[in-house]
Amino acid sequence: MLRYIIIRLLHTIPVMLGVTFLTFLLLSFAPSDPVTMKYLNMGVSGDAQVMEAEREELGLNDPLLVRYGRWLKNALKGDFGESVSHNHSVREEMLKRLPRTVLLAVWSLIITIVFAIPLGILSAVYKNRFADYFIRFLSFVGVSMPSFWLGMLLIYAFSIKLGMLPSISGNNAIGLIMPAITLAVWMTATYIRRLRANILEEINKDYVIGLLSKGIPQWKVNLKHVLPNALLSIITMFGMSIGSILGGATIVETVFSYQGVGKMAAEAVTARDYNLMQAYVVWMALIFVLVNLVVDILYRYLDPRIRLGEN
Amino acid sequence: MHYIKIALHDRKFMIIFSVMILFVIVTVFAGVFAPHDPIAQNYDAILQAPNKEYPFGTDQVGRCILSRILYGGKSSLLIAIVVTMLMAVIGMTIGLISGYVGGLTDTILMRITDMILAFPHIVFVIAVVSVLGTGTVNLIIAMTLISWTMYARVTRSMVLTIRKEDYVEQARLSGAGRPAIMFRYIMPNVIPYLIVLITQDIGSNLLTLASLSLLGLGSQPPVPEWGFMLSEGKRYMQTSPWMIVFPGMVILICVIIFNLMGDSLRDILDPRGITRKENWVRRKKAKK
Repeated sequence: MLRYIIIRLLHTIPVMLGVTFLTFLLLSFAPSDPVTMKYLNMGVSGDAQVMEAEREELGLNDPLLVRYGRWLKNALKGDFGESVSHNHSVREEMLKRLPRTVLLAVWSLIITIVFAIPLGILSAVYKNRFADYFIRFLSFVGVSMPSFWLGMLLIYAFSIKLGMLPSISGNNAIGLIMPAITLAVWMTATYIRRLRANILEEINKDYVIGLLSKGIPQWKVNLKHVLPNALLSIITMFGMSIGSILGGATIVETVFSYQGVGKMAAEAVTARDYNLMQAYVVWMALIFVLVNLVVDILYRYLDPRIRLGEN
Repeated sequence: MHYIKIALHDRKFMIIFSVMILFVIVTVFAGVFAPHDPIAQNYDAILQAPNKEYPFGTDQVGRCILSRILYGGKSSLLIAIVVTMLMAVIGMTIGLISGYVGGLTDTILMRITDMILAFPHIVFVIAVVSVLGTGTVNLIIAMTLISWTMYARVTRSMVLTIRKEDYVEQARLSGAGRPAIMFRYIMPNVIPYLIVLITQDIGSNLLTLASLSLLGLGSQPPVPEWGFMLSEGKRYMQTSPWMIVFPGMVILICVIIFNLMGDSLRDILDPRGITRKENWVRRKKAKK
């Protein structure tokens, strides 16, 4: 197990190098550079010769690999350069906003688990009965629901009509309620659908028939054998969901004016703030890769076929 | 071809399919159905609630929302369909090459997909748009650049099993060249399964397109687009909720249609065999 973890950790190094290089390469095709942006933000057109000298000084004319090496060295020290649209360092901006997005993601995951698991089980156990049809209908609408629209409808109902919750999310727990729910709806719906399918597939397996014929009651078989197996593949879905949470956060944060990294990224695009953009992409990829690593390790640990097969 | 026969006899599928065709026709011929000019501003009819003249109301400069939704289908629904086809064709071709040619080509192509898959989807689209600049064409390019990977992976894994089939071997022995084997013998067997993926993907691409337009990264005004209509409507939501209700509802309905169609196509083509297996188990139990 330990060996597996070490190997997987070593595997993330080339992936992260590739990801950072790809981002660097991509953003190096950007039509404007930091010096041009600096003068543009100051509202003056700089002298061509002065600008060229500044570029030379910043090392912007060096070959791509040299620049990437320098960027990587600084990034490892936590220095992602200056943000042109925020007038302070990218590091400061990221440190301020990243915890908020992480908080939003964690809460929406909690909501998802709390609702998806019981509803998924209910739907499978009462297959083709009223409860099942109702849950299936809701989860189908949930899967198709545009999150931004749902967010707007929630604002209209709870902020404008009922005046219960703030329409602009400040940095407090109340402001987190609506964004977290909005982000959780799609995930909850997908998890319900997947869990239902998993349980139904598992229930038809031969070992269940074997246990039933031994006289063990259905509910005991479901609880002790079917459910753990069905939940196992839900864990791998977690890894996938992290991507959609991080992406979805961009939209939900914009709708609710929640000051997280997602909203920051959307603003960085229009402000052409490439340093900030780059730090954002690298951080998101890092979180995505690391969460998937943890999920893979957890999966191996929880699946006895793999865990015991090793020893 | 027997799939088409099954589909024609599947009532659920035919209903959903006709609704979808209806939506596409209405979108393509928006000019025939729209009661007003979608761009013409009318300052005598600003922010009107739905009424006889304007069934879905008007926006902040007096444009008819119904007409804007109908015309907006071109830059929302049709583009979602085009983007999905584009990424499917590119992904499938790369997957065919990767799976059939194998060797170094395969390794390189698969490492590239690994790299792209390490990015959260929308995050990468935003990054590419930030380089290319905002606009519909750039958004299409960005989405295609990222999403071909899924099709490539699925195609490749299918090619790896199909290429071992006897009929492929026979075609090769009778002197068929690589391109002929790939496109004439392997591809027709891959396509039915990809169609399920494509249908389900149109819905999610429609959502991605709309949400990126909402962020201001997609189509630029005054071209009507559903996502952008919502972001405009958000500012007037307090007094004119119809500005967000109708565009959002149209997006929801379209996504539902494509999801339903994906589900029923999956039942017909059944790549994973779950439904078939379920039926088989049921039949076995019934016999007992």
